[in-house]
Amino acid sequence: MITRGDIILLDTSAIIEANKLKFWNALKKGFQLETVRKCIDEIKAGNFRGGTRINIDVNRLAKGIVVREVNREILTPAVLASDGKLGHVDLGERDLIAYAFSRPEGSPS
Amino acid sequence: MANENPRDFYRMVGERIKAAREALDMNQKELAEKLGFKDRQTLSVIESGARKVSSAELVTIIKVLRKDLEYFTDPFLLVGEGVFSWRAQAQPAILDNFEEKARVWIATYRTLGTGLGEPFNPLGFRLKLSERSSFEDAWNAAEELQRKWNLGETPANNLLGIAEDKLDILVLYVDVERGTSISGAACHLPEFSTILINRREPDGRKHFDFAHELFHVLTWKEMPPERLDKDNPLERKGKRVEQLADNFAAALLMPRHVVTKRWSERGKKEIHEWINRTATDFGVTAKALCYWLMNLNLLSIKERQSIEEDRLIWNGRTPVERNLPSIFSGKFMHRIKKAMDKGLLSERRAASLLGLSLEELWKVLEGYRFV
Repeated sequence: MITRGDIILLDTSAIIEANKLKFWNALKKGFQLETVRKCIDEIKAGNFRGGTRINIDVNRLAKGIVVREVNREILTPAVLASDGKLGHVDLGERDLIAYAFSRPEGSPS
Repeated sequence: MANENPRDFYRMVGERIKAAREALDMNQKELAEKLGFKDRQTLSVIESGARKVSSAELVTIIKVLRKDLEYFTDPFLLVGEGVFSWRAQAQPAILDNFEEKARVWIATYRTLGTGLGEPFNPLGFRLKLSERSSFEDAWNAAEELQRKWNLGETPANNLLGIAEDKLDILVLYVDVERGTSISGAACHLPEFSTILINRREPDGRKHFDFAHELFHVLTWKEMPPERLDKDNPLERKGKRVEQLADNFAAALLMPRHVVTKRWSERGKKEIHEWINRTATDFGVTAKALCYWLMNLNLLSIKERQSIEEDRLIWNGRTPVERNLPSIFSGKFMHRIKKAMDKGLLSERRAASLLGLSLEELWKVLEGYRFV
């Protein structure tokens, strides 16, 4: 059960949707938001979902979320534990899952 | 190798470790020592996929063999497999760069096919020709194919669709960087073959390129083509395989009996005008038809001498943006969309594999009416 103040990991799509549906500020106030560098890169590269282009101010965004760096040592165990399935998701999502997997409470799924 | 289960995945990783090690001329003993193994046997079982490589071992392997993680684990790469034959006059570096992209498209098609449970046809199809075959043998083989596939009097129109269906090959229309001379390519994999066609080439060239590459696909085992066919008749003397491929392509696209009949009905029509118009009907370039008339010995010496090459103007319809064939192919994009719908591939990953932005990906899918 998620409670107020918990850490929430957000991928590219979640960040875009939160901005598009205008609940980003509420999310920011209620939780500790975290993401990974690659998701921020994907947002910078342009967002296009369901036929609509979404523009997000990345500098403003970065003020409300902790951006984690994912290196080879974090990525490798997660990719192997997934038996290669992490290769099927986009790179932001892959890095975020790998980061979650590297956290003390992370577990293979 | 496409992986649908963990064993396949670790076999793929093992094969790639072996490929990278061998590329550095390193033997198993040397790499085993760097990994701290007591003997080379442990590495041997990792390379065969019989034992899972651990993440700590893989991190060391990445450092020692100087490759990135994706090289070893990404199922959407072709590593150490997939042989290409290019019809191009591009610089080696440009060709290598383009081949990298093509490898990703082909690996994507294969990996998703496995994931979707769409098996590849285990039966091959080949032309019974060899380097010792005569040009007439190649013509006869082409005509046999015309009959078997009911290609009609002007096969160019439906050859591609029928070949794609009958042979279970993948045909991809691709964009090549402007100013780069790449007409097309064939890629051979054990499971299936792929033909790449530069979609911006004039139609006549596209049809001929396709028929030429089709020859390579159908004779790969007996006559593996060289990596680079410069597509320049003056530089190809002695390259028997390419000459056979051109003869096969000509006979396939311009059936001898049809050409002979039309030639006999030519009457007093001016020769250049006749060649240009007839080439349009066959969907080939006027020059290709002219060479074919010469090969068939239909032109008298006087007629040969009267031909001015610069008046053979029909080069096939040069496509403009609005009538370009859609990029890739319906078969390919259908598989991409199906994998996205089934959650096997994320939208962003699909876009990045195809070298498209998300916006472009959706436009391509819309173009094929998949959304």
